[in-house]
Amino acid sequence: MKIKQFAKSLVLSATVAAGPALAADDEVVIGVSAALSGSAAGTYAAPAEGLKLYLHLLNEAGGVNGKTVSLVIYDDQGDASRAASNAKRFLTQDDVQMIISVSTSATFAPIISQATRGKVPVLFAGSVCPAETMPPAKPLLYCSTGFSAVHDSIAMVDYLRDRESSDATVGFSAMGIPISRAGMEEAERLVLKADMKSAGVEIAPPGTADYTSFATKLIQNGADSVLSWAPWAVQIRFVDALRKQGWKGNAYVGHLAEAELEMMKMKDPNLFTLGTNVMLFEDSEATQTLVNAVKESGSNLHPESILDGWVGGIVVEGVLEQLGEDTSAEAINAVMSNIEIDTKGLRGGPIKWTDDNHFRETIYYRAYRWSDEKSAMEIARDWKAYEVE
Amino acid sequence: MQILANIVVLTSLYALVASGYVLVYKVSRVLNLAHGELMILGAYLLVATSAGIASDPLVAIALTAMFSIVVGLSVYLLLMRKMTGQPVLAAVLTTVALGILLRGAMVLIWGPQQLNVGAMISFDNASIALTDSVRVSTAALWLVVCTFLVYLGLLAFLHMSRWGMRMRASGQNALLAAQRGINLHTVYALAWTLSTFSGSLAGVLVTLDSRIDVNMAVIGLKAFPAALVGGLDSLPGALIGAGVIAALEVLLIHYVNPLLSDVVPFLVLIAILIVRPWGLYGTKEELNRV
Repeated sequence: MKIKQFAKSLVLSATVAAGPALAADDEVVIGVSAALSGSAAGTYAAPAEGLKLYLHLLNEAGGVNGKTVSLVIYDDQGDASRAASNAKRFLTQDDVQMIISVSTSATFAPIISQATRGKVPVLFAGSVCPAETMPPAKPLLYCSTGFSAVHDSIAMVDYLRDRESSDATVGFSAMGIPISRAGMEEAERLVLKADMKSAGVEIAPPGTADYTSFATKLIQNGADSVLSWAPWAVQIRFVDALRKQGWKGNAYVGHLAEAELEMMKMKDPNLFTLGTNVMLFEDSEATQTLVNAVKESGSNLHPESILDGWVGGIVVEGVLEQLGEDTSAEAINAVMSNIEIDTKGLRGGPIKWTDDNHFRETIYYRAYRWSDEKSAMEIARDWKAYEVE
Repeated sequence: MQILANIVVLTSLYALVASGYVLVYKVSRVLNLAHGELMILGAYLLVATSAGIASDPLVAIALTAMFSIVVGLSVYLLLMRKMTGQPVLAAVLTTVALGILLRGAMVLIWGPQQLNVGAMISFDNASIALTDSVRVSTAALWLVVCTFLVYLGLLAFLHMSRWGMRMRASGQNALLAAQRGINLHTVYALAWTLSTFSGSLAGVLVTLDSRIDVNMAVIGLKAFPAALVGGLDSLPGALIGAGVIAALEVLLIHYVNPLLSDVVPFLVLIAILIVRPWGLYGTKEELNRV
């Protein structure tokens, strides 16, 4: 069943990924380094598919101002050495005008280093946003990904403070990777600053098979609510481990790619996700376009899981719209360093980059939960804007 | 008390997985390094049966058990049979290749994303109160019960049945056993089948308790120290080894540093290899011969 879909996906790759030999003047060549296989593929393969799909449709529609996109996609398996080799190939063989990363943070350093040397802009679309994209941003590095450990933590704590009593004890769960730990340690700091109590930050090593003992510790430390920011599999297994021990408090998790589908299966009204992407149960034109595109492509992926890559495609389209005759990497970087991109209703507002902010000036968060009354997902709190400083 | 319950559940998981290592090693001296992948394949078979053949959870689980027996038998007949008479290292390397192949195939067929199998087959993994302060999930309780029954069944089978005695005899001296008329291929096939069955059972139960993705094969790796600490050719040893590793893991998480829980079992493994390489209950003579 999936083999057929995989074959379809290969055909789709072939139509989008014309190699450099086919590149023409009206074609912008973009190199994509993505974790398409390996242990990180569960998080990154789907957004990479979303990016491919959006740009495939864009090309089919004639491109933007006569310019089409040629993607050169290499699998880096979330591995730094493979990413380094990919980045080198992009610059020395494929002559790309832009690089897109849809992979783990371990791959960032070699990609950034190669791209900086080649003066080619890098868009992180589906990868976590590196600190270099935040103010004061480094040149050439941009991020459109919906999630960010520290900003998500700020929004989650803010929402948690709205819902929980002022003397609540909050537990935190993270995965033993720097980005997740940083997010939860920041969240704990904010909770303590708000005079709430902390039940501690439980950090599970990568590859943990059973989260029960971590959950036990938080329960025994008196956690009234738990906040988690980690890869989706970790967040949700942690919530499972809490529920298995009869814990009934509110759990707040980051809204990542698989959230909607999982929450609809779990039907847990005390589980909240905070994130920047819309859920697809909202029947808007933007969500319908995305859902239909996935359906027509024959992919078996849940449309929600490709959303960050799809938004990456929207960003590429936005950049091409403002690009003049000059399609060099330098010209693309000049456009990217000062642009406002309409996210077409898939986020709470536009992605706006300035000279010193390549993350976004304002980030919008919405909370979702399962509603027993409606027997459907619902918006628990509508978009709230946070300035990025 | 909750901590004790957590230790018992984790011990059951590691012991059930470790029994698969022990069965194959005890009989054929082959260390099956694809056991973690075979375990997860069992869980994915549940996904396949529930999606395509049976919607009833019990029927799906029963069919999965049947398919896992077929998988174990096929692995032996199509792959490991050819390794009989070859150096043990060649057979071990074959299992490494098998593990990599299975991992790739599972990603290709079922995708890299995690699946909530419990929800797919409408399995209610309710929290059960054992006492006022101790709760375990339904799947965890099943895991403990199944591990107990599997160990009881295996010990009875190995010590009281004709084929069990043949398996032990083949493990002790394959040449002599063959000369006495024992069909080694049948014995080895039986060991691989039983090993895959117990691994798949562990895979199914752990999946029902949480979710599944290919990375869950790491449980196989974590159960390996349990098997080795107890003694690779001893089933009771595997049970005790699992207890040691699980207790260490849970207590480290709770009282020391959770990040150590991943490392210390392997430190114990190294320590045991230095001090008593045949494990707590393994046979010294057997390991020297290997």
